[in-house]
Amino acid sequence: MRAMTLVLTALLASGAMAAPARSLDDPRVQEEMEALKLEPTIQQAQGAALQFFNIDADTVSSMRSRAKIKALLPTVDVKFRFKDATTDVATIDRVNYDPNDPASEDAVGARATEWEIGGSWSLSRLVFNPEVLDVSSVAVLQEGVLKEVTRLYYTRRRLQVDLILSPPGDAATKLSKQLRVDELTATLDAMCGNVFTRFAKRAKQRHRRPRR
Amino acid sequence: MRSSPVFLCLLIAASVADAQDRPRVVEDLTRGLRFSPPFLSLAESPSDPDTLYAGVRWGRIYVSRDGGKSWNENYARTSPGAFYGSIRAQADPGRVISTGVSFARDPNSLLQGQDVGDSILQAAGASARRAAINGTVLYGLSRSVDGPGGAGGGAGARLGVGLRETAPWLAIAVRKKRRWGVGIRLQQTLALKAAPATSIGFFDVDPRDPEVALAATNDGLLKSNDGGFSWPTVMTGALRSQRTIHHVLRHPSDPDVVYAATGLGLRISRDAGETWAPLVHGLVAINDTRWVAIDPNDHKVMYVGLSWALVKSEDGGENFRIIFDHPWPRAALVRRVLVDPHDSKRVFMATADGLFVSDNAGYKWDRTGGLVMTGFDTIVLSAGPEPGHFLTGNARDLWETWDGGKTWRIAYFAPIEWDVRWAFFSRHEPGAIWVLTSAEILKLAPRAPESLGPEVVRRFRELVRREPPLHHVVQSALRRSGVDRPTVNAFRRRAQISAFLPQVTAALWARTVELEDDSARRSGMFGAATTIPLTNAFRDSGLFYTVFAKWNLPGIWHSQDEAPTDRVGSLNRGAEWRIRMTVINLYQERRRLQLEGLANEDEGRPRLLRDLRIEELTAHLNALAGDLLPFRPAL
Repeated sequence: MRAMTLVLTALLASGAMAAPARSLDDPRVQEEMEALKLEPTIQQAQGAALQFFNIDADTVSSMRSRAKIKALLPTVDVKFRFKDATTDVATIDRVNYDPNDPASEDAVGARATEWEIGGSWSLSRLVFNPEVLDVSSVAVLQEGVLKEVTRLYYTRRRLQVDLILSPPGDAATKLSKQLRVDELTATLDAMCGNVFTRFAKRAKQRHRRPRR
Repeated sequence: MRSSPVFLCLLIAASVADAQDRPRVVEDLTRGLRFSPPFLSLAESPSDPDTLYAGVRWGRIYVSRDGGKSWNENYARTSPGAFYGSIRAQADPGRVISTGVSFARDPNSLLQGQDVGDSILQAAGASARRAAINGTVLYGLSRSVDGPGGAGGGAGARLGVGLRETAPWLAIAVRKKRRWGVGIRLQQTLALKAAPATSIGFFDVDPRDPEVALAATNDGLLKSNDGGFSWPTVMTGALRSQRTIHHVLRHPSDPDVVYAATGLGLRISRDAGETWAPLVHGLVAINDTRWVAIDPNDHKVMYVGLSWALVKSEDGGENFRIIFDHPWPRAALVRRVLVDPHDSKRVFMATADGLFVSDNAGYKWDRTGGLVMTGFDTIVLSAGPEPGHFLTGNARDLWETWDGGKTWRIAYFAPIEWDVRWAFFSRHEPGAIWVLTSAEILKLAPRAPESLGPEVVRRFRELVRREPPLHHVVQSALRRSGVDRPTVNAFRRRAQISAFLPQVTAALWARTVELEDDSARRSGMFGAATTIPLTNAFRDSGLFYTVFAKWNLPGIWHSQDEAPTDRVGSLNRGAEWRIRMTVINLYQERRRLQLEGLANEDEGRPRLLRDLRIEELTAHLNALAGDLLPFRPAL
């Protein structure tokens, strides 16, 4: 028991000692830094996030231009009416004939069919449609997504660089930082449509594929 | 020997004159902060010149341990909204702990941990609506449209629904048992989504320990014992006014005694903020108290600014009496009170309608500052190191006096973009002024500006010349987002012209009507009837069209759509404000780092981290403004 305590204490003591900071010229550092370049670039992450939220520049621009010319198309009313009716008319001559026997009988049958199509154009909306301005409100969301993705990306990147340059001496801190990187990766993935996972898979496949 | 006092006076006068004339260098210390202003509060630790605390409206607290060169971000409490990232803290022995990545205390680390969590869904974010029912606070979500921020998560300090309010002793007991920042914080976090946005309005840092600080918020008084890592609540209330803490003051002779000016009375703590009790005197028990000041020369004399008067106690807070009120409500709304540390009879009082001064310990008040201060909401009041040297100001300008308030001269013009929120003389650097604007942390230091070598200046100018100027980047970002004001205005003017065009309705219809009349008619008289059958057929068919045009001619004269007062206009303005502010912040920080990079020929980790930050700022700016700036990967 005492020996185990001593071993644990020694382990903890060794773990508590911080590992020395590594130089950028260290080949291992350079290799690890190179590995970071295989990950999506910030531009790719930003683009993926905007697409994921359906607010990328092309989509917004398309929404805006469609809003501008939408008044070219009318609101359309289509009507169809059909009527089939019969009218029976019996005329009784009360002077000359039996009252039960009508003097004349008319059976009128009528069928009417009507089609109607109508369109209404708000031509003024071709000149000014407030929906065009409304589309611009997406800018707030765009700005928010960009801000969030960029922050997450570089928070993660700084942590990665920190782990490479100053690797923690103790396992707990190292694990905690690695978990944090994973957490940030997952968060970024959730915002960017799994672009980080896709890149990681691709890199793994490339690594596995035998070179010809 | 007789000449020595005269000589001494001349020496003091010369040094004062020298101090008056010495220009101040403005140093912007907003670097590396997340872009979620407006800032509301800033405090300097009395015991450690390097420790600073800054608070914003959205529950974030920034702590610097290197005199403002780098900042750690922490959450006191946040508004509900989208949350991305971790709530828990990351323990890293030997370093300052922050939520997220911990980098601090490393002099080489330029940039601090920036946790995740600003709202991307702020537009759809929700703020809390609370209802106090029988002392239990319930939370419900409602839409928030009142500004940026709105993150979720963080080291909040709220227990579950109503528990914090109804069981403060339990909260204290748990804190004592489980230590600060551990334990109840997890439970508190559960209710974060329903928590309101927390404005950090004022800080008080313990003079004995820079790691211990109190934060006055609009949702209770928070205390951190670990340098800003966790902020449990130490005082709260069932009513909003009770939870609104305007000011905190530590007793000058006993740091364990703390006064808190709340929206519902003045409270006192005798155990450094752990437990609180109300002051019982009627004038301060339930009134909306805004500020507390204690005479530095006679600690029994206390001034309490109310929202409608100034009251004074001469027996350590036992009894109070009104010494100032005013028929004009804004003049009676006391913002700050300051007792001259060199002359207790001179008291300054900043109100929402200007600055007042008293030369007989508060019994007679006169306006000071003339027309430049009258009518302005005065929010700054600070005493300088020399006798008669004071600082005051409003959202636009800071003014200082060297003769006890007789004459004033400008100390700082606030930029158009931001308002001054708070300013005070540094305790550690004589004559230096900390200025907090809504988006900047500035230090105005009376020292000669650091000279840059001509080569650095040349290279920086070259760099600036090569890159687009700020206004170009801002305009580009606004145009890309579709919220550029001239474009929007030009588009809105088309609303008037649009009235010339009519609403056109055209209709085309086809109709077919078929009619068959089968009739039988009897003819003849007296039974000699003959039936004559007759059949008539009728068919009508046709194609018809019609066109209507409707003009809204009054719209030519005036259209409501011209004025950006509608919902869309409001959203556009909000978007424009956010984008403009973000771009300016990013651009300015990038420029500062570029200059710093040119001035300091450092290598290795500091350079890499700085380059990484410049890369981040460039990527962010390019995404907003459209690849205007050269992007150079740091790795």
